[in-house]
Amino acid sequence: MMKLAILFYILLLAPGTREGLESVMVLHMFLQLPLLILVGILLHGNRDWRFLEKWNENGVAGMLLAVGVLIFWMLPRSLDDALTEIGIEVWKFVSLPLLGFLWRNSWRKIVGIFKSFLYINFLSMFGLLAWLYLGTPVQICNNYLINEQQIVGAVYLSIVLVSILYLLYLVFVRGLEEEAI
Amino acid sequence: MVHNRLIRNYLIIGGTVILLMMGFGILMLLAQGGVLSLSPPSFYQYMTIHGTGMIGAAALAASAVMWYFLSQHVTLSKNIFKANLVLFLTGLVLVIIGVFSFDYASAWTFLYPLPTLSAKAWGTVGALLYLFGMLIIGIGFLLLFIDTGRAIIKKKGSLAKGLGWDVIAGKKAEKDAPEPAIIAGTMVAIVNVTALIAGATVIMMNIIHTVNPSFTFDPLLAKNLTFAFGHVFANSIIYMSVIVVYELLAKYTNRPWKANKVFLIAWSMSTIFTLMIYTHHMLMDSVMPKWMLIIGQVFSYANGLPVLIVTAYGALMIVYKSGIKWDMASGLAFLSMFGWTVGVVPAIIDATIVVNHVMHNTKWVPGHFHMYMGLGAVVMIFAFMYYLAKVDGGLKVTKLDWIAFFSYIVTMAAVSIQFLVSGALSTPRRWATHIPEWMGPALFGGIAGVFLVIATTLFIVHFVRYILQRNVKRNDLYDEKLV
Repeated sequence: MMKLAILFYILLLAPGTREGLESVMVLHMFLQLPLLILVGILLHGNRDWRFLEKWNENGVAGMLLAVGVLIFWMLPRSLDDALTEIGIEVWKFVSLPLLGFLWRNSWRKIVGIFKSFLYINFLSMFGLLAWLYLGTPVQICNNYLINEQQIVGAVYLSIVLVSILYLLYLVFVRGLEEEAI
Repeated sequence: MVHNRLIRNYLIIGGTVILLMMGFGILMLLAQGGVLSLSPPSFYQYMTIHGTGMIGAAALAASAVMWYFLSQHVTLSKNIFKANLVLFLTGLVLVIIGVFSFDYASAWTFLYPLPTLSAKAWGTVGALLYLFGMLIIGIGFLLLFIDTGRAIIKKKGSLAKGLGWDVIAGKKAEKDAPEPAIIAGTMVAIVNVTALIAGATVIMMNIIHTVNPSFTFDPLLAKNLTFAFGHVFANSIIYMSVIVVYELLAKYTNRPWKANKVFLIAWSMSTIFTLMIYTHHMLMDSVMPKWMLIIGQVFSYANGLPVLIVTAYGALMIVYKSGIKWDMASGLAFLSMFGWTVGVVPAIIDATIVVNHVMHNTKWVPGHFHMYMGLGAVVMIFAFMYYLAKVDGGLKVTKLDWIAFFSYIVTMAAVSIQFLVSGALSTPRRWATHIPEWMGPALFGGIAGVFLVIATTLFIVHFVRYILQRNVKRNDLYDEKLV
């Protein structure tokens, strides 16, 4: 797992891949960022990581940090700055794998209700971002055109709709397993 | 013993806030009636705190009713219940500071872009305090309703089974139908989680717009989301409170209130309709898609009926020839059926598109919700408070309580009817200043309101007496006591 994560990370760092993914807003937001998170998840794997046991015992601290990082990268400004400021770009390649790592470590520890809360909270957050990217008449990012931000908005909206359908399936059909939502 | 101190805290906070908010209501009516000099900015601040406080406090107390009875059937988290109270109080403090220290006065509907565009009546800080306050209150309730939904799913398998769809489909016998408290809890969890998702989205959008007004949003979508939150959340109060009617009358008459197929279908219909009918707030928005407005009208008619009919009819049947011994709790529970029934009538009339165009911006609408909430939902909460004081504390009522009971009926009806009369006179709502022709009903309502406050104070005093009781062996297990 760890080898795969490192390989993935190197691949994402490679100039060709990096520039290719960052040149299109929707790829930047919905491919590069999730893949960097995936690197962190793979890096974590199924190990226990004892150094995290003490301060992330119930998963709340790790999850709060992970959500904070995630919110930062949802902001259009962050995406824009990553393209123009090397410091932010470096922060992206550090923070997102860290997010994935913390997420993987915390998810299995936090109690069910907070999983449900996070899931439902993301519905409203993604809904808001869909609205923001789709609805605002101004160009939000300097580096991406309005039509690109509208595609990002449409993807956000699609994620919300699919997530709602999945939630309905869970609560009405499949029922609740402690780890499910 | 299900009952604990937390329930009492919820109820006393909810009841006291309702009482205080009545005070602001009286001040507004007296100002509109021309006998009190109140500056327009103060009037709108009072209107904002009155609406926010009433809905928030009623929802808080109603959630205690639901939690109390539902926790007898499923395992609810006490920590989440406690967290909701803490978050509610935190949010309330922010709202109060925003309104009274920073002059925020957009009404509780905080309709976009009003929080930002106030013509300098209030500033950014006031708007942010109010909006963040609402967001925090919403987070508390969201946790509570997620917990409710999860607990029901754990017990029953799914929310569909919580609504008894397996019984409706014939897979299970009627005798195995879920208890009314579970059915109502399921309905409320579904509609309120949906409402709070919509609410969080639109509140965050308002916050972004307040911080950076160059981010503009579609006002029509904002209004849709605002009422998808506000209407549904306010509506759910009665669906939480009504559980006391099912539980209390069943215990008093010693006849179980069993859910049958008709009951289950009615609750399922109300679950769906409650989510759809907020569009009756949009009937004056001519740019709305026509089909949505038709939905608003048709389903508003439909939603007024299913649960109300099965509950009101059920209440009559369960009491009929039961030999019930009436007391304050059962009297209030029965009164609430009447209040609910008459309270929906003005709403159904207003949900008719052609009527709505004339009546919606008049005091007809406050007439509806004062009757519906004041004689329906809030009365259910008072019924529960008397029920608890009786079964848990063994506290006896006095003649004063009965005087308060009848005074409450007369004065709450008077307050509601003066709004309806004002509406019929085409008096606009949400206007700080009235011309002389509009003042009569408002003044009448203000005076009636004073007596209403006295009656409500007596209800609250009774509950405080119960809380302050010492050396009483508490036991709220009614059945055990009966044995």
